Amino acid sequence: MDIKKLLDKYQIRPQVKKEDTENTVLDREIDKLVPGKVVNNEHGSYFMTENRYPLTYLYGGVPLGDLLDIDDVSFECLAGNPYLDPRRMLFLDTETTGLSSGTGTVAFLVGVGFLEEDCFVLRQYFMRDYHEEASLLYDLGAILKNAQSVVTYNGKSFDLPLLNARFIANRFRPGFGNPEHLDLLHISRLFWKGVYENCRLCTIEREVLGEIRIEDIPGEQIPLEYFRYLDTKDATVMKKVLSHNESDILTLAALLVRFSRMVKNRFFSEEVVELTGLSKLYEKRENYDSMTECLERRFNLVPDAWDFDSLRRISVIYKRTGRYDKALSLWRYYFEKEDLDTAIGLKVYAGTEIAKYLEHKERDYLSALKTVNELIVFLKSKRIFGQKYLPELDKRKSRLEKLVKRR
Amino acid sequence: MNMVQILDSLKNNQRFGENITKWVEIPEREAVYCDFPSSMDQRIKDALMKRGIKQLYSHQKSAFEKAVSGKDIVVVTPTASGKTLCFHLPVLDAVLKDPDSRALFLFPTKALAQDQMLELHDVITEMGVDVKTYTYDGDTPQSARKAVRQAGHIVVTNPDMLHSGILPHHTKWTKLFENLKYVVIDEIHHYRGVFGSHLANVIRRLHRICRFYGSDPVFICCSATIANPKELSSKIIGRETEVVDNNGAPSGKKYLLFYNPPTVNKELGIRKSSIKEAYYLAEQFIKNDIQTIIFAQSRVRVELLATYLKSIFFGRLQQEQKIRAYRGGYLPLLRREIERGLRSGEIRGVVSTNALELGIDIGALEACIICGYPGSVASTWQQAGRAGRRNGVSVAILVADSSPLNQYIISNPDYFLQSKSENAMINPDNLTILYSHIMCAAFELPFEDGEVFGPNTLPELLKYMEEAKLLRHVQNRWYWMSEQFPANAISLRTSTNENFVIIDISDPKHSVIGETDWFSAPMLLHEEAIYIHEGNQYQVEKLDYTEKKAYVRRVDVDYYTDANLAVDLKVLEVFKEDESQTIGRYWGDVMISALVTMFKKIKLLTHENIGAGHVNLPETEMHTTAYWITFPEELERELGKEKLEDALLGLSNVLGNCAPFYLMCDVKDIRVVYHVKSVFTQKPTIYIYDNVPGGVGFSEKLFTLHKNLYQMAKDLIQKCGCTNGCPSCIGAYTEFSGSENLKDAILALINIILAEETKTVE
Repeated sequence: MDIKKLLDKYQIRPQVKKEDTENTVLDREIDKLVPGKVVNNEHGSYFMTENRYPLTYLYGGVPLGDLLDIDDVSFECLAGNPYLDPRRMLFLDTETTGLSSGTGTVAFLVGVGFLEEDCFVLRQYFMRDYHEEASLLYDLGAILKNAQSVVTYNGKSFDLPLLNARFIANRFRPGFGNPEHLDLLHISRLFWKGVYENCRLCTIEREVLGEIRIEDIPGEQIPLEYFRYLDTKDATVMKKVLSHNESDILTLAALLVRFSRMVKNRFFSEEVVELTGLSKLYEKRENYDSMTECLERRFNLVPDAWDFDSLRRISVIYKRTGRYDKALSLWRYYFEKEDLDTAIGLKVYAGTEIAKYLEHKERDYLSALKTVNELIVFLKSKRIFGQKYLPELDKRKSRLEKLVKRR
Repeated sequence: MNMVQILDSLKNNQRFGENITKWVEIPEREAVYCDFPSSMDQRIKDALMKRGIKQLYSHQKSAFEKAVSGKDIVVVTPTASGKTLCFHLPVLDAVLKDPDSRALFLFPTKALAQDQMLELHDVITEMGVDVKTYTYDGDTPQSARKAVRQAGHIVVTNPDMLHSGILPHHTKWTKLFENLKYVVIDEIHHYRGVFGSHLANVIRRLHRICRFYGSDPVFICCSATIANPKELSSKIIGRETEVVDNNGAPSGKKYLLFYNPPTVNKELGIRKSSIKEAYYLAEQFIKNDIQTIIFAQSRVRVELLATYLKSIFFGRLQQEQKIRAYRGGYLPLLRREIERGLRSGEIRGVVSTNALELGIDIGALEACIICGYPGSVASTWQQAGRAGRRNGVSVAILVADSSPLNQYIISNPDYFLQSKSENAMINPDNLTILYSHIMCAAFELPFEDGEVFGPNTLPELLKYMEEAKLLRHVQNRWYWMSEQFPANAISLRTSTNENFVIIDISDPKHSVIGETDWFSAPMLLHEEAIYIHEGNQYQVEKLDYTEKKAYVRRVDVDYYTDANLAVDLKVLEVFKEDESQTIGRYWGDVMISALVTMFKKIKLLTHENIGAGHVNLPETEMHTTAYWITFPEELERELGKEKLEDALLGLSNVLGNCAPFYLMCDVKDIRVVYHVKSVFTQKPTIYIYDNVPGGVGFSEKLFTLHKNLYQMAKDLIQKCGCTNGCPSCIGAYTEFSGSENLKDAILALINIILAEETKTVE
């Protein structure tokens, strides 16, 4: 029996219609549609584009040249390393044949951006077919090795491991030197998780930078479009993919500048979201002074924007550093606040902290008990939302009662 | 009473003694020792000495010497013969001599891998050396995975994880693949049929990746006693292996008893229930404080037996926990607890499915009762091997049930004893399986023109995949051209990966108590079903089919449930056919739809039918291959519709029991369906299909040897002592509508086939 016939029967897959390859017209190849050149090296050839943007070029309202103004304080905060040099920084984004990890996924387009004397260079490495991967990686490897740092969006878990796999699969290694890696997705999440619908690059670009892309190709279509291109050699859609990738890299640069401005502006910022985000970033860097500064500013500015997480975080720092005066005034504020119906947790937390402080630090069990009782009375009046806190508080109460009696 | 006294009393007990069809004494064996191999690292020798091991058994030394000299081996020795040292020694020796060396251990289940880890860990700790051993499976936390990939000297995993978690990500495992010295495949006899055919292809992929990184590991396989360990292991690893079977481990005296429960009704061929007899026997041992394992052939039987046995300790505080059930659906923690209890001796009796047949360490028990023939000679020995001490007497008793195969074995025990174990069959070149793994391999590394992968069909298959737009052929290479991650869609086991979880809602706090596979769920977890878990009864209150969850509540009732499966079969295409004037035989593609329509309530102990209910669940579909045979249309007129139907049913029952003999497969690997008038053939027809999506070649083999099959069916029916059919040949009388002379009618059908000279037309 014919293997083909057998397979057709076993494989329950939709039969793929053979595309009309008759129409393949050579003048739609990528080098005819996109300005660029075919590069040759000892591993073969690939297609490369290069655009030079003047430093005054505005993207998302940010002049690209402002990258040069990012100071060591900002780098320390954003990357944990003050010695980064914007001129040795590589902005990188890949377009791939799929989203799964594993060695069967290939980066067919790698875009990089970097500063030169008087311009921002945006270079794209594109393989016109699978066999061009080795030559593409060979040249990409050379530029990667010289980079002091790499800036990506989700590169830590996607782009860089994928490229690393590609280097190994093509027997080049190590693919990278050991660049500092700045993954802007991780920073974006600290600032905007829960604020915007998601933290995808296009969302942030729209919401934060105000850039609207026209005729952009959605990321999820890109792999299939690339396969279609391989079949037809019609690069019309690939042109869109290249410009999609180019925009992504410009966004990376503009976003980095925006982050650095937030850092610079931290003493004057009036934005709760910014201050909270910065405080998380400083916490990650274990710079608790700056973290506290940001949070204190945030609480002073808008004390009544309920934010349980921020209260908890600043309380932890206060307690750790023994600044109970500051902590107490904050806790008292939330504990005594009347209209806390929507944020009972905040009040419970503050009240419990006060009771703990009175019990352990002041050894004033009676006052601690009074606070707990007050809290219990309050919670009992909130039949629906108050119940879940009661068991914990009852335990505290009976313990305090014992202590009071013993004294 | 001690063991010898109990055996004596059983022998002299009339009720029991006269139903023993064979009493075999297996004499004790002396140990055969050898000195440590001189090349073995001193630190290993010291560690062994510390454990009181001053010499090796002969097979351990042979295994070490062969493996170290670069030969692929398969070690075949019985249970509890110190098999693990056969691979621990060469692997540890390699790592101690060169810390860059790496080894990969494959076990068929996660549980076995965990078990091995602990054992390996003990040895390494004793040696006080830095050999890092990690398990890598679905339970390995994400945070730990990087360390395993970078630093693990020995990575312990299972074939599924190698297939979908390691090979497709080989670039993350460069350290392992560049320095891979040994691959250990334990319990290799477990990889039969579909699973084995898959594994052989996973190993083909492993070879490919190793070649890429410049390594060429030595394979050490371990097997229980099967007829063809060399053939099986060679097929799986794709290279010739050498057999190491000079077993030097000692063993105590052992008895093997064949027991046939007494006949209750000769006419109807009804015997006493094997479950009750097994219970009776187990009770004798456990009451005399002899640690006993009971194997039962289905989950339901396991739970029933455990429930019965717990009554031994009924009313005694905390003592019911001395009897435990053990089976696949239990969660890992519970299983670990039971295994520990067995080793420590706290648990005195355990009832298990074949889950404990594998080499999980539960110590050596004294008595083993096998309730129902496990389906193969190899399994029987493996289960019997659970009882056996280095010194002292042990016993294993096979209790037959009334099924034909059981009755055949029990009345011909010499056949069993003389026959070598079965051949474990695999077919790595099964087209669908091969195709799946070529996809995975292409994903892992592009194929190059002229590359070899299994049979010489590779170029054709690659071309096919190119046309299906999965691959792209450029400059002598075939590149993966799809967004898919193929390994995820391919399961190495027959059943799907989609399990149903079972949630106990008796208490306000719900808890997951078990799981079951997708195919069994409609049978076991339909609403109103009684699900027995750890001897407790639960009633299924709700089955959420889309979410794959069954909600159960504890109940205490005196019945269990048994679901009826209605199977529909449609022929899609005929590959081979052979027709004569009277009969036709065919091999082709079919679509099976299975539907659970109703269930019966069956009273505990008496096993009477006390009620029924409807089940409303969607159909499950399977595409597979089948062999079928047609009979003349006139039969319906000659016999009458009812009698023909009875005859076809009876013949189907016999065939379903005979076929596994020739195919060397499990009874469950094939299914038989009959149609009095088939829509496709328009004639009375019996179909036998591979119970595996895509089929693994069983039906094709039956197509070729169909006369042998019918000859055996004839023998079985003729030799059975019953008058008009019984559960031990054509099936229980209750299945039929009461036709007379049914055995003759069936024999007539068989004779039609045997009389026919046929030739094959392709």
